[in-house]
Amino acid sequence: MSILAISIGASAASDLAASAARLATPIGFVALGETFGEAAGIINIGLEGVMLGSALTGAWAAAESGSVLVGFLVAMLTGMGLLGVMAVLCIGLRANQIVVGLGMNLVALGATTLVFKSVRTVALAPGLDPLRLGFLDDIPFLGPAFFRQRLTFFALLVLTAASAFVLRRTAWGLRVRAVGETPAAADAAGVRVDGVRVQAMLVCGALAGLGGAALSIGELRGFTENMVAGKGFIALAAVIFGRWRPWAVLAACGVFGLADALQGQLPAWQVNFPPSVLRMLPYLIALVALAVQRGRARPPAALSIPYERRR
Amino acid sequence: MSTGAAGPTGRLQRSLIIVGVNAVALGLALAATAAIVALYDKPVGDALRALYEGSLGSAFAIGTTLNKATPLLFVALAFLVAQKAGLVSIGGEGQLYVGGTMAVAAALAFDGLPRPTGLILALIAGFVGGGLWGALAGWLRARFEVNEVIATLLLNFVGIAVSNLTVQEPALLREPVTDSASLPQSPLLAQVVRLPRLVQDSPNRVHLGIVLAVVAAVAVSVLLRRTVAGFRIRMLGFNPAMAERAGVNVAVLVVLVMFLSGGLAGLAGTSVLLGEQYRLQPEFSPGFGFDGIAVALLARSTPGGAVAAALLFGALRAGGLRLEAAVQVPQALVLVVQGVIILAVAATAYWVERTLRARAGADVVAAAQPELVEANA
Repeated sequence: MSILAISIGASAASDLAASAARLATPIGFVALGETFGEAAGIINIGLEGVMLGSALTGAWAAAESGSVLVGFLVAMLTGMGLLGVMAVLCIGLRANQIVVGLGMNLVALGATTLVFKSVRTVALAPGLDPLRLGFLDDIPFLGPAFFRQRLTFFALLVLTAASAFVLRRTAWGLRVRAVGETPAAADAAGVRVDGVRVQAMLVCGALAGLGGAALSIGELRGFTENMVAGKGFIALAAVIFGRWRPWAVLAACGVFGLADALQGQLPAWQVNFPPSVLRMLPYLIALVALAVQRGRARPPAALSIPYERRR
Repeated sequence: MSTGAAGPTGRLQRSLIIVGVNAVALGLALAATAAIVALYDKPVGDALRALYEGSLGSAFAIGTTLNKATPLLFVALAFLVAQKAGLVSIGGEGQLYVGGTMAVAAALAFDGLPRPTGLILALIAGFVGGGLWGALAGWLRARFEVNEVIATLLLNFVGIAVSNLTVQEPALLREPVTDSASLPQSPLLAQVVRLPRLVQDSPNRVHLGIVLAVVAAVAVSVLLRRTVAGFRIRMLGFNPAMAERAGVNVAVLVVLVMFLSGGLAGLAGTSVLLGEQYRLQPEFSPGFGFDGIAVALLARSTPGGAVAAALLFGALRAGGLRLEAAVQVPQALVLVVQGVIILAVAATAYWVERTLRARAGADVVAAAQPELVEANA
């Protein structure tokens, strides 16, 4: 009897972990991208819009070409293009980053809705199926939870490892962090502050584009109006919760994914718990974590401040 | 020292530059509208006429414009009060949810009181609710050094969830569940606690909210320019270290400013719920808390400009409704137009400030606070 209960509990837990990982994947790409942007001192409130735009073009390209790969590539380029526009405004013209982000969200929400209502083919796109990884599949708990995910999940793990390495161990990563912390010192040391910031923004765009496609192609097989529905803001919160370090950011995405997954699962388990409480929990945890670790949980010092050389 | 910015010529130049830039932004927005409408193969003239008719063409249209402008103006004021103190608050959305929820709770509790006591108590509750939500962010910043951009952003989601929770739980504000189809929403508000219509028996549905919002704009303007508290707020924004040395209790002032800012945003939610929707429902705001920030930007953070910019965005929202019905172009077009205006203004803001500062000579104080120099002249 108790063995049965335990085994049911274990399978429920692995189901929960599996759907948490699935729901966290698109957010993870975007949050990873924003980690680069914020490390370089650029805050992007417009991730929601970037994700929407690339989710749309990705779904369109995948539907037209019949190739998932083409869809992901087009989405990535869309993300880079949108971040390129933001870079021209925020870095070239020294525009206020928060305002540009808000404008981007409005334009993207409006434009994608207009396109969606006239180009119906974007509603259906080829998608990715969960993988079956042979022997890994049979590991208790871990197998069903983490080894029956889509390719995007594993790509995200690889990219997180790569990002952690690049930001921590490479000269370029050091330059990115330098222009985010003390741009004046970086400038004095011969680093082209604006150039590095643009590069970081383009990396952010590429990853955010992949995140959009992971949603529209990878998971939902098509675009619907405002399908991002706040995930871009969640990614932003995850970067903060993860304190600007790739693995911790990924873990933070996992927490948000878990809260999301619990909302779906609790009714099935006949547990009566208000979904709104679950929805607010991750943000509360993030706030408390920031408050408790004050000083140590500091954002990059030059975050959201345009760099201007002193004359 | 040159005080060019404060003299009559400087004033005129400043106004001309700002008007010119806004005209360019509106021109771009118009061009975007025309381009999109043309893509839909519809006559551009018809679309513009629909936008006009939907926003100004009838008594009903004017009422819609004014009602749509109301929450935007409150949020814009909320943003600019914080901004004057050097605080970037993007928490308007959460504050308006919490404020609106508190207002509805108070309105339901006090609807037995004689008019207008219940309504006044509900308005106070809306202000205090939003204010406390804002003050929470201020306290996190003052006490725990949590960046206010981040704190206000995160508190948005908590605030929205708190508001949704109250309409999902029968023990809180949810109306009695009669069958499985009853929606999660509060009971309908009684007539006595609603914001009254300004024009009786007319298709013009404008309610008292716009008057309250304009009064708030005047009050904010007076507070910032003519009072000691306003001087302290601007000093904090101008140079926190200087404010500290001048004896300002920075921590307390940060919390108070965020209370005021949050309270104004709370009134945005209150005006929508007590003036238009008459009951609390989940997700009742289509992003007023973010659009209002754009309004503040377009107004270059002056209360008077905020009134004008809120009316413009309110007119766009109202016109968009008509656009979809008359020309079959989705009203999402209006979002693109708003976004283009915001991006165009943001793109030129730095250039404008630099040009104005150059004209004002090296006198930074004069550039930042022309009215001080003017008073001394």
